[in-house]
Amino acid sequence: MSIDLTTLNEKQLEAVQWNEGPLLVLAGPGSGKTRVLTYRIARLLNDTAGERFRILGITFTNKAAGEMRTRLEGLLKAGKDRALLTTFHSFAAEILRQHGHHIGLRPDFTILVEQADREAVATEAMKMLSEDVADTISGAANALPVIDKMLAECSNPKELAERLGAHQRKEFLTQLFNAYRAELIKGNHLDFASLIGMAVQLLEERPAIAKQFQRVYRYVCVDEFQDTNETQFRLLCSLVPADRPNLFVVADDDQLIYQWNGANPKRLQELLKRFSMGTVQLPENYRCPPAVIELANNLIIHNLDRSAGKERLKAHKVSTTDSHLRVFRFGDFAQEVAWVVSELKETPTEERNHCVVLGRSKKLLDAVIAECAQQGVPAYIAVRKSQFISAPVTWLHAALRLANARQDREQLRKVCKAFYSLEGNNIRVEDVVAASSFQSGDYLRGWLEAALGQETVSAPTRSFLEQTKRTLLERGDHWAFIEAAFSWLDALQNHPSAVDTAFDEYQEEKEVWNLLQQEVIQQYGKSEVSLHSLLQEFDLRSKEAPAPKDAVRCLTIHSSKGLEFKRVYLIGLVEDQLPSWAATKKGDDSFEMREERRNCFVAITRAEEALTLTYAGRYFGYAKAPSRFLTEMGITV
Amino acid sequence: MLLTKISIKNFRGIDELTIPLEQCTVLIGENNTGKTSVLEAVHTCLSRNLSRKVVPFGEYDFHLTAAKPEPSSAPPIEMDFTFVESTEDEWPDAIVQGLDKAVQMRADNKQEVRFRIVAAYDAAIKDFTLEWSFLDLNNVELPTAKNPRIVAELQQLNPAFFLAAVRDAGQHFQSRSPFWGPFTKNPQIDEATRVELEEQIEAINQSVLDSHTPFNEVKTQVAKTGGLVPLAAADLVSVEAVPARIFDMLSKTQVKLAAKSGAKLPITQHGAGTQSLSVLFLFEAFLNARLAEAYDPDSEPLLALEEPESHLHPSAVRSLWKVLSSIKGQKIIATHSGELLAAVPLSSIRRLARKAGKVEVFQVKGATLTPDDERKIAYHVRAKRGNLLFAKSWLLVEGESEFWFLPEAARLLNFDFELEGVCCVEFAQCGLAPLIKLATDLGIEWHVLADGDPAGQKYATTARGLRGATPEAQRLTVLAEKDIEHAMWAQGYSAVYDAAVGAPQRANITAAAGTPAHTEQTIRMAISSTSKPHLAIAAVEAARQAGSPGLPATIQTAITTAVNNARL
Repeated sequence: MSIDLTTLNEKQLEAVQWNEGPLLVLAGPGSGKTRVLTYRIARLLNDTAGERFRILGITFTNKAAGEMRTRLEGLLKAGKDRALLTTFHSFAAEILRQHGHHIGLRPDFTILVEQADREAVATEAMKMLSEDVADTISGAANALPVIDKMLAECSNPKELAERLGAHQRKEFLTQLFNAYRAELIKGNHLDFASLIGMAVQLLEERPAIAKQFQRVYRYVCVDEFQDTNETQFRLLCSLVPADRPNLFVVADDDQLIYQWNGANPKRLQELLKRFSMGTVQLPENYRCPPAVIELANNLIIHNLDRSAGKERLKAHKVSTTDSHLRVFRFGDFAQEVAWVVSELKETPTEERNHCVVLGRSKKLLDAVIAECAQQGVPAYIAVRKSQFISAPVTWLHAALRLANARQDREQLRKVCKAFYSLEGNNIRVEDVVAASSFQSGDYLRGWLEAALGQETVSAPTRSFLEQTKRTLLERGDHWAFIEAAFSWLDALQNHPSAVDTAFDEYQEEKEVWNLLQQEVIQQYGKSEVSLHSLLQEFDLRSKEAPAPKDAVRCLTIHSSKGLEFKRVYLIGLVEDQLPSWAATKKGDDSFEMREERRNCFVAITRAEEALTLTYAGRYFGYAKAPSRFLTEMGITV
Repeated sequence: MLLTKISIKNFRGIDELTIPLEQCTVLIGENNTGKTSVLEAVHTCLSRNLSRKVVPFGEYDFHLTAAKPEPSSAPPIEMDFTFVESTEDEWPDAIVQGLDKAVQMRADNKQEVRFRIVAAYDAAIKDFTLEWSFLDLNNVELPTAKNPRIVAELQQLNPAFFLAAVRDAGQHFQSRSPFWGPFTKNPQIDEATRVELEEQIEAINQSVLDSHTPFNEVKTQVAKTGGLVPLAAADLVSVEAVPARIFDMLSKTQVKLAAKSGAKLPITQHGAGTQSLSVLFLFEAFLNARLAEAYDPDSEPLLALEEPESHLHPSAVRSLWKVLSSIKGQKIIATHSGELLAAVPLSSIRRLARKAGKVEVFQVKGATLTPDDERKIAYHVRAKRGNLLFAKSWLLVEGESEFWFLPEAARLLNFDFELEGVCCVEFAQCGLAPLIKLATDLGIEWHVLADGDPAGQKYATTARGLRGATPEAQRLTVLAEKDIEHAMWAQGYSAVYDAAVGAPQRANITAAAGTPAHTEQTIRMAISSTSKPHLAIAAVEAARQAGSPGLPATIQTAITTAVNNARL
């Protein structure tokens, strides 16, 4: 059975039917790039049914990977297991789970997400420095940003040496870099910053391992390539054979907005040169009203460093009204925000989750959130949340982590603390540690026995703990344990001995847990999600709750990447906001200003039906001129 | 995909055993050392799909001891299978892609896969459970390789087959057999031909029934069934003298072998040896013609073969190695045949032997023998029909006199070398040191009986140098006399030698009786008149006579030590 390709346009079809060799697809916003990626993967898998090689699809977020997976399932009857849709971070973790022992990691390494944990590693690392260099930076908190910068740009000591050149603090920085990495490995830890770098180092030092991946993943596809940083690019280069690069890259240089994270407009040129890549352009836009496309085209030609021969966006939607585009000017920011919120208040609740307020900075959005509270409109702003905070889910997470690392005192502490909030039984960490030392030092066993030894433990809890001994402790069956734990916690909610506030955010976090768990299972298949992988994937993911259906959604432009909304309100279109103060200071042809222009381009092209642009005369007490981008877009101010 | 190592723990009689394997590995060892268990372990774990976690072991497969006699209290069965590339990049894409996350990269850039199976009693569910996993190079479980697909691929790409010692053709040449079955299925006959053939068969069937009428009575009687239970209304009973359908006919196909008389007999009517061989060749035909279809084009079979020599005449066994070598894929063979072993390279042999109650595996280490030594020893092994490799203890002797003399002398001491597992090995041709090293590598006990002459002293020095920590008495006896003939002379058997000297040779004995020169001359002339073997037998015969002075103490010591070594 073949895949129906009749719904694709000519250019999309050309990309979807691309077989061997490298190809760059320059895809404008709303041009159906995710569709092109999924159709091509589906078609390749379908054409090669019966073969064993796999296809690797790397996306920018877990959400994007999840969406592609869902679409792929719609297109393919069988063989979708041969596609691995993942992110750079997840894939790096996967590489290190399989081959990490070459650099001293065990497969059950943990990914440090808390700043405090990373500071502890940095503190240990700084003790390792030789005396003559040790005083250059005081305190781990100050050292971490330096370490992060080095980790983002270098994946091994040799590169660091090249990068530092004749830097006056070269000796100190080199020692710090090496000591921090060594401390991580010693504790069987990784962090976001080192994860990809360690994988790159491994693949570059052991080309035979890279070759193994190249044989398994015969085709590699990358989405949003423009935002990859140096180490991500290096990882990519290791994953495709130089002589037969079946590398399919989707990118839009006009949507590059992660320069601050190491993305670079030059990387696209490097890619084209390195792989002698051909290009297919997808300028057709199926998302935005023609009026918005006109603004976008007007705006982006002011960036002079775009890809050679980049085509103008072509609108495919037909205008149905003249209200697709509105521009409003206000006296000050408070009025601007009040107006936006009052209009959203009028919007029927079922339509609100199709609306979004976009702002260049979180500070602008905080004002919207405050105004929403004022007017009694539910509002939502996505903030990365690295840990669960409610006692029930914290207990579950810590118990699983303790099962994974049976002598982790910190997790034991969390288990004891959360259990006290839930059940009212105080089990002391020291007692468990002391008791465990007589029996193989397994704190999970020690804790379970201590808990069961408490006379005041309720009957349902006792039976759950007995069950946990069989499932989690003895058989390592984490799935059975999680299921039982949620039933126990659900029942415990009405238990009188619980601390009053213990279950406050339980429902919400339980939903997030299930959502994340589902995502991980879909990515790998349930049988393949061991306890280690589950915990590692949870570490990589944010634990924030999804937006409630009736809430006004507020997003920074960066986090709106790849999303679309029926109605978009872009606020704060003034100098020093969009473009930012830093870019304004650097001048009109600076890298920073071009990136600001792209931010504006990304923001307006999120709109499916209506775009509302607002600006005001004063912000936070200062008079501000209308954004230069308004004029560039062809709007008379 | 070469299985390079198998480690077994707590399986049947095996407590713990690790066997390095090659393209073709031959297991030898006494009964109950676990040879068959090894073959069956490989077959059990690699021939079927274990991804559903059904325990493939029976209760008696657990290692039961007097202390833990119940399978439920027995320690878990644990088996590790290690596959390593012979050269870098040897494995095809099918393996690298199919086994994917289980594939590890060694420091030498050869790829490796470690597969572990653990079967244990789970008291919580009161049943045996099976867990499989793939390991990294530190033997830590790989959490990413938990997809049952990988196990299925492993068994698909590396299917194991087992041919037991009893190879009954009746069982193997039937449609359910894994080797014969694939030949009889999926008829390669086009639809039109099939219809035409089935019409012709029906016509033949009809003419058989028309000419042979007694079936009519059966038809009439059997048709009564229709009156009692609901069955088809029309054409109720049909008699098929020949199968009416092609698929049915194929599944009943018989292979016949023409006997010497020219009569074409079904294979099952031939002797056990012929049946056994034909099953082996059927297996080869299956590998050549049907393996790719039944498994995968990239499949590499692994054959566990038990006693390929069974029921065969020694001369047939001698040519068996060539046949086995030509069968494709990896082979693990258990044998008790010296005839077969005589043709096997020493490096392919794994000797299983019980040491202090525990079975251990012995093999010739890579650096032990120079190519020249190996050539000489291989010659020796071939000449002795491999028997010395089955021995538990070697009595290393210089020449043919001892070789004839000692086994018979042992009988006088009420020892039977054959029964005890002692083998007299002459070392004059291939040198003493290589043989001692070989014995040490293979876990065979040894004892040297050296002459008292200067050459013998040199051998004694060699033996002392190689005895390691073992007491010298256990490894070496040196005759007080020049050689065994002089020793027997000194013991009082001068008459044996004197009588053997022929009339022409006697003229050469010039020394005065009673002098050492006289003894020397007489023995030399006796040998020249007869032969060393003759004298050896004559001397033993003399010792057997009533009232004989018995055997020299040194010879008794050497024999007793060799026997005690075998009993260790």
